[in-house]
Formats: sequence, C-alpha cells, structure tokens
Amino acid sequence: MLWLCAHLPQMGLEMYEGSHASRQASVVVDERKIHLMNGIAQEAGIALGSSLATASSLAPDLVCYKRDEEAEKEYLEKIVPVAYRFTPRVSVSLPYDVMLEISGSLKLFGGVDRIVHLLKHALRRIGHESFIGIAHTPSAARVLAHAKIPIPLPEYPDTETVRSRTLACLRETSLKYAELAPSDIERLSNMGIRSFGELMNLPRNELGQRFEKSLLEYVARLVGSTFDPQKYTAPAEPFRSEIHLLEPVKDRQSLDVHMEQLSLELVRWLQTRQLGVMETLWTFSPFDDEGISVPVRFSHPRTRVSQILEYSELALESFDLPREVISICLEATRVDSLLNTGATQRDLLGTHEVKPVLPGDLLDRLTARLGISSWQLLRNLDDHRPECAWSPSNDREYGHDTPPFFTPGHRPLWLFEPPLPVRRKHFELLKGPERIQSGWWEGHFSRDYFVARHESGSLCWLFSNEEGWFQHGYFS
Amino acid sequence: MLGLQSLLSKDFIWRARDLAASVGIEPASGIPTGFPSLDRLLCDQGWPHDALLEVLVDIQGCGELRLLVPGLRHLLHQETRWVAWINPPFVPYAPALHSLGIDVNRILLVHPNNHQEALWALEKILESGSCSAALAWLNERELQDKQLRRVQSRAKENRVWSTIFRSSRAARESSPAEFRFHIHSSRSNTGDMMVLSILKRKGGWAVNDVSLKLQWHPNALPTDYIAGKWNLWRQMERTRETNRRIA
Repeated sequence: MLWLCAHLPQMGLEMYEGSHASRQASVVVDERKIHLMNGIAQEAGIALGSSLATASSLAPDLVCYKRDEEAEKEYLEKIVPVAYRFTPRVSVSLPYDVMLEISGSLKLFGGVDRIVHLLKHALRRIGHESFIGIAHTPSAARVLAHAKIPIPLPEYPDTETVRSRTLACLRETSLKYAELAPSDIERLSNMGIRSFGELMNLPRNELGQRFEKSLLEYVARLVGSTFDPQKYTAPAEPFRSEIHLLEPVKDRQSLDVHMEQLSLELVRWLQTRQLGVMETLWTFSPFDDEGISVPVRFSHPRTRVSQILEYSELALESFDLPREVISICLEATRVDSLLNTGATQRDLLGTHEVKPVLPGDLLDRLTARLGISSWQLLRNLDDHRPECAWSPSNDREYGHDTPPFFTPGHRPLWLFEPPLPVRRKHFELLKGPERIQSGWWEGHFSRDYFVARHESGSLCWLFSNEEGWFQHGYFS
Repeated sequence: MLGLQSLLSKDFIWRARDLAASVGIEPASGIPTGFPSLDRLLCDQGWPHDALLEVLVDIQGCGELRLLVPGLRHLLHQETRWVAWINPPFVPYAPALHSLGIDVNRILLVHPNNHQEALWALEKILESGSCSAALAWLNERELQDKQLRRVQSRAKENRVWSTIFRSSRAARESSPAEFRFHIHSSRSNTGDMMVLSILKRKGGWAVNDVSLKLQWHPNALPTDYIAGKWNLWRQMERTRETNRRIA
C-alpha cells in the first residue's frame, strides 16, 4: 500500500475566494477567533487564534468569512473528482485532507513524482495550494503532509523502502502534528517527549498504562502494525453541483464566472467516467423564490467546457433570469458513452460508414437558441400513402434510411400537410387519375390524384374523394 | 490624353467580353446547373459556389425548385456537407426529392419563429461550415438591404451557395445579390418548360426570356413494369374465376 495525502491548509479560505487571489486581507473566523487567513492578512500582522476585534484593528478593510464546517465537508467532497482521476481509492479526511491509495496507479501515470506533480497542478487549477505526504500508512502520510516534509522516494518504490524511509522521517517530526488529543500531546511534552521517534521508542506496555488505549492504537496505525481501513468515496452520481453565492449576482458577466466553474466540475466528472453529456439542466434561483430551470440539449456527447458554455449561453437568451441570482445549480440529466460520437465513423476494416455525419455543432446551436423543434431532418419511409412516405425527425440516431416506396406517378416537391380543400373550377386537370387507396386497418381512404393547373399557372397536385377536391402539393 | 488602347490595358477597365479572365476564375468552376443553355450564361459555367442568388417568383408551382435541383444534386454528390432549407413554405416532399436523385439524408430543415430568428439561423448555417448550400424563404416585409448584404458577405466568406426566394416586387429595389433571377409564370404551364429572366448576373448584362426544359420525373414508370403488373393481375383474376367455378 502506498498512501498519498494531499493537505490543503488554506481550503477553508480558498473555497470562498475561488481561483482568483484576493487583494484584500481576508480571514476565516471560527467562534470569534481567527482560524485561517491569507498572505495579506499575515503581512498586516494578524495572528492565528487572535480575536476578530484585534484583526479588524490591524487591517481595516478586512474581509471576514464565518467558518461553516458543513459547507467545508461538502466542499471537500467536491474535490474528490480531481483525485478520482488518479485512483479509485480516494477518501476524505476532515477537515482539509484528501487521501489517495496510489500503489496501483504508478505504472499508468509514470511514477510517484509524476502523480504528485499532476495532482498539485490539478489542485492549483481549482485554486488550492496543497502539501503532499507519501507513506505506507494513511496516518503517517497525513503527518508528513501536515509537517510539510518531503520524503525522497524512487519512481516505483516497494512497500519496504517506503516503510523504512517513512519511519526515518517520522523520527525527527514534532509530535504537534499527531492526531492526538491536545491534552495528550501536552502531557507527552511535559514528560520530555517531543518527537515521534521518542514516542515510538517508549515501551508499549508502560505507555498503555499511563495513557488511554487510543494512543496505542494511533501509534499502531501510524507504523502500520494494525489495519487502518479507509472509507472510499466516489464522485456522486448523477452529477449535480450547486454554488451558493455570498452576494446576489445581478449581471451576466459575473454569472458566467460561476457557470464556468460548474461546467469545469462537470467536465472533470465526465472525464473520470469517459462519458459525454447529452443534456444538462441549469437552475438559477433568487433569494426568496422558485428558481428558473434552463435545459440544454446536445446532439452528441459533449466533453468540453467551452462547448457546454457556448450552448448554455445561447439557451439562456430565451429565458428571463431572476434579477438577483443567489444560487446556481448544474445537473447532468443525460449522459452517454463517448463511443457514440462521430469519432468512430470507421468500422473495423477501415471502410467508411454510409451514415451521414450530423453537423452537431450547428444543430446544438439551433437547439439552444430556437428550441429542439426548430429543426428537422428528412427521412423516406416505405409506404405508398403520400403523407406516410416521409417522416421528419430530430434524432441523432438517424440515418437508417429506407428507400422510398416505388412511386409510379408524379410526386410534388412541396407537400401540403394537411391537404387543403379547394374548388374544382379554378383548376384544369392535366394528368391522371392515379388512384391511391389504403387499407381499413390504417384509416381507409380512396383518392384519385391529378396533376392540375391553377388559373394562375401553378402546377398542383389535386385529389378528389367523396368529400370533394383537395390540393395536396405543388409541382415546384 | 491617353489613347484608347492604353486605357484598355489598365487593370481597372473591365470589359464584359473577357468574362472568365476578368473575374479571375478559370472556366467551368461553378456547380453545373443541369441546363447547358443556362450554364453558358453564368460566369463560372454554373451556379456560384460562394455567392448569393435571388430567385424572384410570385406563385408556387412553376418550377422554381426544379431549377435548383440538378445543382443541389451535384453538390450533394460531390461534397459531404449538408443542404439547409430555412423557413420553407411547405413540406419538402422526401420521396419526390429522392426520385430526382437528391440524398434526403443530408437535408436540414429549419423552422424559425420569426424574421430575426430566421436571419440568425441563416447566418449560423452559413458560418458553420457544415452546409454547402442554403435555401431561405425570408419575410419580405421585414427584409432590409443591410441584412441581405450581411448574408451575401457570409456566403462569400464561407463558400456557401445561398439562395433566397423573394417576390417579384423586389425586382424594383436594388440588391447586393450577385445573381437575380425572375421566374415568369405562365397560364399555359405544363411543367415541361420554364421561362426566366436574369435581372442581374456577375460579369454580364441582364438577359431576358431564357427558356429551360425541366426534368419531370426521371424514373417514370417503365412500360414493362406496368405490363408485368397487369399480367399478374390477369392471372389472379383467372385463378379466382376457376376457383369459383370449381366451387
């Protein structure tokens, strides 16, 4: 087992500020004490644990966020898809750690250093500074990540190497990074035991007599002499993500920033599953009312942020958004395997399929702006009844065309749907009749079709039945 | 004062006589119209690949679509791109298009709700690069010159043969379209011929009364097919007769 712990020390603050660094001093306050702060606040001389009043007097334009542990937990779950790219064994550890078991992923990604580099990069892209610890047990990895101690490891380390190097590193590490009750750490410190090395050198039995059992268990988990099962989490399914804004947004530009963030989350979720999105649902909610839902449909699975955003914005144009939006939600209502895209237009032998390639981008643009019923594709059907010999469709599975029924007579290029009642005296019959009948099981009719000329000179397709004369099309 | 010869040698003097040379395109680069007499009148020996064509026609059913069908058929055979129909007044009938040799699988129909949407859709279609030709029926009342100009420039940039159908009243106004055809309706129309006037064409004067022979129905019923059906029917009648007698 090879455990990697990504420690995000500033996550509680970064989750509010996103990937754009603030230019003001900002702090997170927990029970009126400064819990986290950014670099500018630190320069202003604010110390962790000091009171909000002190901090405000040091930095008058202080931005202050209240710590919300529920929100932090929810946010940490959102980071899981980033880590899920590297291994399916991902667990979160409150408050600010993500644990990955990477022994099975080394070959795929090309070694420990490469995974660390990629993970740090991926986290930085969503606005988080991370510290990585790698060890043979989860607890040890966490200690190393918190203490910011890099252990030199070969590209593909075996368990024994990792174990010995981890223990060597831990020896020097201060006990304040241990996951123990503060009172225990203080007692140990009073006894002159300040590093992990000193703790591990103590005889276990005597330690057990003086401290609670949990201390011994912790040490056992740390060195790996007992199991430390982790609860693996996977990105939720189906995809649904929501952003609650601190201040209501009134203009489209600032909405775009949040929409981009949600789309990015969706794309990350899709990537880990090798899926593309076929249909999404945006919900924009004002503070005190029902939100407005905007569906966006795609003609084939989409995987890019830019595409999702472009078609979403077109779709938004035909909706009246609430004047003030306080929360934005993105759901993937339909996803599909990427195998169904135009990318696989060749069969095994390399011959081209006859199926026409849909102009997907164009169709999606039309759907987004004008609605799904704004466009149609044509299809021939094998039927002798004129109105049943064709069918419109806007199906992407389209292209399985049946050759049309052999039509003995003339067929017009324009068809009336439905036929238009006309007066016989305006027309001169030129060709015909051609009788077309249908069976009783399909709505019986019997019509005599003629090619006729209207007074104005246009060539029409007329038919007569017991109800009178009808025009069914134009020979254009 | 410059002499006539030296004046003619200047680049900015254009003479209708040297048509192909003047527009800088080698001959026969257009889409064959299917009508040799019409090909001869067009500067590229066929429909333009990248220009706006206006078809002025007052009534339906006088061959206005069959004028374009051979060109569309050629385009659909040559290219993998689609043909878009924007705001068609009726349903383009797939079996009839099929019988005229058009691949209906690559026809896209767009039904916008109003004029602005129609223009938007037309522009997106021209810009998309996935259509080789576009046919549009726009609202004459709301159509403005600058909108046509925009369509024309998009068609040129993206190489789309664009056709707009308008009423003959538009002939009185000027238009940025490179080609303007007026189709005459005839009260003795039999569907075999059509007469049109070219009001405007690139690299040439207006031409009146061009008559074209139209294609009716290429796979009209072969006689042996009818004979076969007829014999089959006779045989069935005979069997039925014998059966009745036996009974």
